[in-house]
Amino acid sequence: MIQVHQSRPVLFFFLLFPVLLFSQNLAGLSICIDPGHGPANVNAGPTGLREADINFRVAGFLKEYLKAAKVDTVLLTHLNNTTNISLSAREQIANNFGVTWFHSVHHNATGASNSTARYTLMLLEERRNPSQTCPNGSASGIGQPDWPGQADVMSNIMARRIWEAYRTTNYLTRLDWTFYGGCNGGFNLGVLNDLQMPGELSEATFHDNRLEEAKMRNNDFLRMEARALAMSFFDYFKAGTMPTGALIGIVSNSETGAPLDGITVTLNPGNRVYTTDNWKNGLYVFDGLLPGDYTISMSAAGFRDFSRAVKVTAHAFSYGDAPLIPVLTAVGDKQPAMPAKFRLEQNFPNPFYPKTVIRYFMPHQAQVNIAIVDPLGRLVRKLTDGMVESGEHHVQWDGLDEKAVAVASGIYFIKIRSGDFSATRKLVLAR
Amino acid sequence: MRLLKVFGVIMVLLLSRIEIAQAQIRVAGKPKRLTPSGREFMQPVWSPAGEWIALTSSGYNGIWLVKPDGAGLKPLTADLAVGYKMKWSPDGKMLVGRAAKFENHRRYNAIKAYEAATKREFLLSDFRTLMPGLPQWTNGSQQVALFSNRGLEFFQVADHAIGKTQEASTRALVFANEQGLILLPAGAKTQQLLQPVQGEVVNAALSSDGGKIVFESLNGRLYVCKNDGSALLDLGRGERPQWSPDGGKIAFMISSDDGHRLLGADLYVIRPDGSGKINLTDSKALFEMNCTWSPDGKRLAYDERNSRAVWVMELAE
Repeated sequence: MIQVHQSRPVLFFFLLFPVLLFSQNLAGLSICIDPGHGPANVNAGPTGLREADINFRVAGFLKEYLKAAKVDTVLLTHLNNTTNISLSAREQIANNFGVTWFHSVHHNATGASNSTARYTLMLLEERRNPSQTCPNGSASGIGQPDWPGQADVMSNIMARRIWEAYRTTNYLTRLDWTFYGGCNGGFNLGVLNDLQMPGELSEATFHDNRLEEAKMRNNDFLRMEARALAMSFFDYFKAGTMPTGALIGIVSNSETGAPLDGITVTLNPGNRVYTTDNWKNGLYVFDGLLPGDYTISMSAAGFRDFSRAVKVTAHAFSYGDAPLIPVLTAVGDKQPAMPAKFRLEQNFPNPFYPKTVIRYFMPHQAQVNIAIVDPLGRLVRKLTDGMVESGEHHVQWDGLDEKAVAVASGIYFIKIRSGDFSATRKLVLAR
Repeated sequence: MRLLKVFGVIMVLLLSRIEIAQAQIRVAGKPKRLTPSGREFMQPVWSPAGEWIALTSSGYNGIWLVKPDGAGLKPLTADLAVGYKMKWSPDGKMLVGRAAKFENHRRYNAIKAYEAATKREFLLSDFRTLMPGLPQWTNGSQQVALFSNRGLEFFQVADHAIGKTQEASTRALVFANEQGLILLPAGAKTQQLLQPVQGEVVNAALSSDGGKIVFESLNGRLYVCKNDGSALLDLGRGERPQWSPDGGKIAFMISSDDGHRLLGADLYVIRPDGSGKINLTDSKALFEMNCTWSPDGKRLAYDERNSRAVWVMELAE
């Protein structure tokens, strides 16, 4: 059984959807969305969530976003998930119509019984050169996409957008033939092979990762993948931006890290509420938010009341994780542990250009100084210098120095200092 | 009673012999490669007069012409996407297709015709962002029809001819779309919707006498019906059917995949009554696809995915 999570925010979102979400639009485009696989594919996660069902739901949500953005025609290669459609038929639907763009929605699997993988992968067709053959006689790939400057550009945009929505560990864009082994059994993806328009295939995250599967049981989470893909079309076609943003958070027990079910999150201003589902993912999602400063708050039995400020940006994802602190159960109990220690994560992407994101964690509110320095220890750019609340934070560096001048490619270091805590990570800027 | 049994056995044997006699189509000799190594070609379309085979390349970009013996390979146009379901005019002098161009990331489509001998191009329609249909020849070799989001349109093939004409088609045409089969009877100006099966269908084609339609459902089954949608017959698995010139056979392909990659493809022939189905290629290592009949019905041209080449096989009965 798949739980279809209903919430007031979603209803509110749909009421506002046509009005708020798209001030500019994607008119003049026709897009074919292919939900990968079908009923014959039994590929499922540890608790039985089938990839074909995930793909189908994301495709449907993407169609809603694109129709709201005034795309002339949005085709789905299949309208129900009860019929098997061959790869040959899928591409024919796009080709018969002559759509502008093709996108195939998939989710990844390692084949392991308890995978921990959770990265985002984009695949696009690699051009083959029949005049250069592998030892087995098959045509070799040329290391270039079949639609250069189009499918590769879009894939890079989509990879980053999905990574932002799902906060996967990293994102990759790869050419199919090389990715699948090159001369050692490599192949072109059948659904991209005979297209007469640019297209690509997304593997947003891993459904055989139990935690990722738990999140993907939540339709509002899957909507964020669809939103990421829709935003990518805006970005690629230079069709403006969505005037609203989305806020995603995970409510968890700060001591154990376990996601919490059934916690009601309130967002203000607006007094919108969202109750986390029962799939042990702790997820809450607010979509269609006008840019601005908001506060999330929640009260839950056994935990201290929690609230935090969040900033929502248009055409972007914002994050508001909520590590709830268990309350004392008796006089003399030791104080509950704070949500881990100070931590500075490796920036991503790295190497990077034009910008990179650095994530760090604060166990309590404190003065924090974060700066970029060169290999000689000279200050390049101050990123943060002030009081920072507890929780997870992000800073971004765009490769500019204090005078907003672009610095040269090379190695730099990010240094964080807060009280007795300090840490350093190496960054590589590759223009 | 015994006599009846003997009679029955004799009848079964006789019918079996007739069946065997009708079904004995086979491949004669080894297929011949038409296109040179080192280049990629696919989706051959044999001209009605038989002297040329039109080909396209990756992404259906461009049209080339090659003689059935592999000689005389030459480009006709480099227009994008135009090779997808391109069609020869009945007199074999022109090809029509839907050409695409990309400007400012937008795709624009137009109907274009190309004269094989001279490479002259005729832009028949305006360029549109939306053109969900493919052209077919109607009256002789002077007019094409398009059924799209704008309904049924006719275009005259002539210099500076962008725009529609109003002539009805002198022969019946069939289109396929998400609703079903769109039939335009000979002499009619309006189309009929036929829905012999539920759901979207693709690759519909009329037999040479116009009496039957073969088409493919999205779940990969082939069907034959009369041109009014009646007498539906399920031919089993199959894709991209092609009527033989005399209407006595249908060539098609069957492909298999795992949702990611193509695992196999073979070419088959079947009679429109569902009998005599045979696998012409039956190879695991090669992926034979997208066949086209020679005008005399004695050869099939097709593409093979691994070699990325077009081949011709001789058929014998």
